[in-house]
Amino acid sequence: MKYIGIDIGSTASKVCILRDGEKPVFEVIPTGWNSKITAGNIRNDIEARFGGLDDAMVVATGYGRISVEYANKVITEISCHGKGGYEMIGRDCSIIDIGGQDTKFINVTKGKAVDFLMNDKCAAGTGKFIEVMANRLGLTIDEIFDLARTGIAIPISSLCTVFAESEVVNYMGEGRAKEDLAAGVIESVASKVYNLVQRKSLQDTVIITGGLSNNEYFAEQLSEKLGQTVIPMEDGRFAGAYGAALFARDIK
Amino acid sequence: MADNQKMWGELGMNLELHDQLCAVLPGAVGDVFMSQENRPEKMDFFDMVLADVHGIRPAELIEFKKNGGKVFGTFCAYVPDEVIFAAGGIATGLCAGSQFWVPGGERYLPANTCPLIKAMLGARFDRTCPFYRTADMYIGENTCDGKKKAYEILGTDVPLHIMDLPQMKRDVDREKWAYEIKELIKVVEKETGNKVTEENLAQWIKNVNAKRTALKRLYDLRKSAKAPISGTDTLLVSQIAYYDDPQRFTQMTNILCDELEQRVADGVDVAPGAKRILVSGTPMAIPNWKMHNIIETSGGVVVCEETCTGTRYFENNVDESGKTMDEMIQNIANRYMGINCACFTPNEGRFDDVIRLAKEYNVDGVIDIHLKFCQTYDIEGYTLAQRLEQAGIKMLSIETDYTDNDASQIKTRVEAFIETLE
Amino acid sequence: MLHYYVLFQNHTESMAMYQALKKEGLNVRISPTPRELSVCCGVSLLVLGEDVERIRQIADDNQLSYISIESLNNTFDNTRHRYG
Repeated sequence: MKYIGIDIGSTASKVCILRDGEKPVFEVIPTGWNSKITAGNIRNDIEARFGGLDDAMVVATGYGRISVEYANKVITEISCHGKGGYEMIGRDCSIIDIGGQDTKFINVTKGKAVDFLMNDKCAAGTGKFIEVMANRLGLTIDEIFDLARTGIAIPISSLCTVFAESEVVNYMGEGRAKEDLAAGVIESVASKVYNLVQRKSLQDTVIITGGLSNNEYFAEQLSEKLGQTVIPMEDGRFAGAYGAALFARDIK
Repeated sequence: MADNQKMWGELGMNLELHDQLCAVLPGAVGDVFMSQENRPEKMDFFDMVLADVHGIRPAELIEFKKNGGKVFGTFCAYVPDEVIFAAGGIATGLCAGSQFWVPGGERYLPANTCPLIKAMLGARFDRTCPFYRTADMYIGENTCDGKKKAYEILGTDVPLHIMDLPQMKRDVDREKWAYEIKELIKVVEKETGNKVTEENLAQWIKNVNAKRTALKRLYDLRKSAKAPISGTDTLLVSQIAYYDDPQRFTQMTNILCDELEQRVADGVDVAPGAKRILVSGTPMAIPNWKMHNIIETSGGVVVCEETCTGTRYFENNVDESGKTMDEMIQNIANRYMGINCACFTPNEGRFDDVIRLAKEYNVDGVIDIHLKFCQTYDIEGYTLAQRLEQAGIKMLSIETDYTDNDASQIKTRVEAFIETLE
Repeated sequence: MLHYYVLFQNHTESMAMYQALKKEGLNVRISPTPRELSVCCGVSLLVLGEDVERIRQIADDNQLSYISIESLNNTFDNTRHRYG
């Protein structure tokens, strides 16, 4: 029996394949412009490498979850990140998931998401914000983090991505150092996440899932803001897909 | 149906623009209502009103006006219909629940004004709502700042009387509201040319109480463990309550309740396995069915609304024991001052209401919904969340407007919230 | 899916027909007239295709007026989330 979790995110699609007695297999591909096509490609890939879906249970999650027409069940990314993140860290925790279009905060008790918050429909504090700013600075996502480490953050006060971009352009016009701007961008995301999270009480363990989950620098920045150690997770970007696969295993 | 076009033309409506609204409404009604299974048969009256919402009732109002009657447009659950009907007038709610009217309102108001207020001005100035065109006079009220200032602009185009609603609930405020009702009586007497007599007022206190009692009966039936009616259908009934003839509405709602009583006895459940949700927050004017539709297609069933299109509209009746004019007016004032709107401070009563309703309706969770830029309800969300947490009741907070573009994000939150209730 | 609509001049006629069809035990629902079938809002009746001939007969027998019975290929999708 195979248990498959498919997490169609706005930027990347993640897949987790669970087989009895074996380690989970994780895959990631860009989502592209059409979630239905992505879901089809994922199916072809699974069938080619792991055999047909006749002996499989599939759970779909992520914003494109309804596009996975062959899924046995559809569960939101909140519940899936909660379950996957809990399984990865092995105890109750708070999860901060920095996604491509939204940022989520999830409190997990006994392996179950019990409480959550999502940022409003605005890109500030999300992966999209970092992407836009990195583009503006002519950097890749990895580069902006590397550079940020060496800089002193210039405060970026605008909460809106579009206005923040203008602010950065102004600073660029003033000839400010790129590393200081890079540090400012990351600091701004950490601040926004802190603003979101401060309405809820944190568990003793705080982990990051989603696209920035294995970024130690970002975890350090967040730890500083929250006054509490935030643990980066090597496979954190797969937490949603992993959780979905675990839910697939629970389907009777 | 050509009759409608003629009527709308005579009302000075912008037919071309209004036609765009007519074009989309049947599709939305199909998706939200016709798609539902196992609806009560006696929703038929409300379906009829909805199917020709800009035709049937406006035609009745015009007929009434032909015989010298006066129509008063209102916007708020605080305005006492009793007084208007007692003067021989008709009170009708003025619709402001569609994105269709918002751009028109934005010509006059800052974009960061709540969509209800923007729609209110858009519907008037775009001339795309027959109710707005039919009313001889509007009765506004000082509730939130947005409405208060928007009325100044609205009043340049139509006769408008403003009731000054107190914002605290001391004895002096209840007396003040009684004074405002007396002022309203003078206004409607002048407009209609009729006197509000003790006899008429006593009769209309009874009539409007009967209407509230019918709505209370409808809501009480939703307390049943098996939902005899969807929240979306009940919302439509609550919305129509603002427009329809009060006595006919009372009769039709009671007929619906008779059927629902039978359904409860038969164990009919329109949403088996769904989580029971209490919706709290800002009003949902017709045709705003967005949140109910999302909740009820995400594993939930709305069993109660703590909103102006819900319990705030009908809970508590006017004490019928008043004999003199002054007693009756004070009793009316006391009933309306019992409504707990976020424009009041302090507003502990609303938090108590939500917790009480959550228990009475045995809900699994509360979804607190406020319209974008509605500052008072937005701010109250903080305390409400705390109070509910203390009471051990889960709550989700949603901010939204009339546009469709956030539907999938809201759906994710609502689905996730319902998953946490498992 | 193909839906069948009975169209009328005004809501009084619609409701008279509605009552008559209900009395005959037919599956009938009140619906706003779909845009494709009319130029303005109005009350029509949504009926089953298999009942169309019987409805014409009932209308004749009871002298009930209607404009026409039309079919339309449309869907009622409760997850479309378009509210106008």
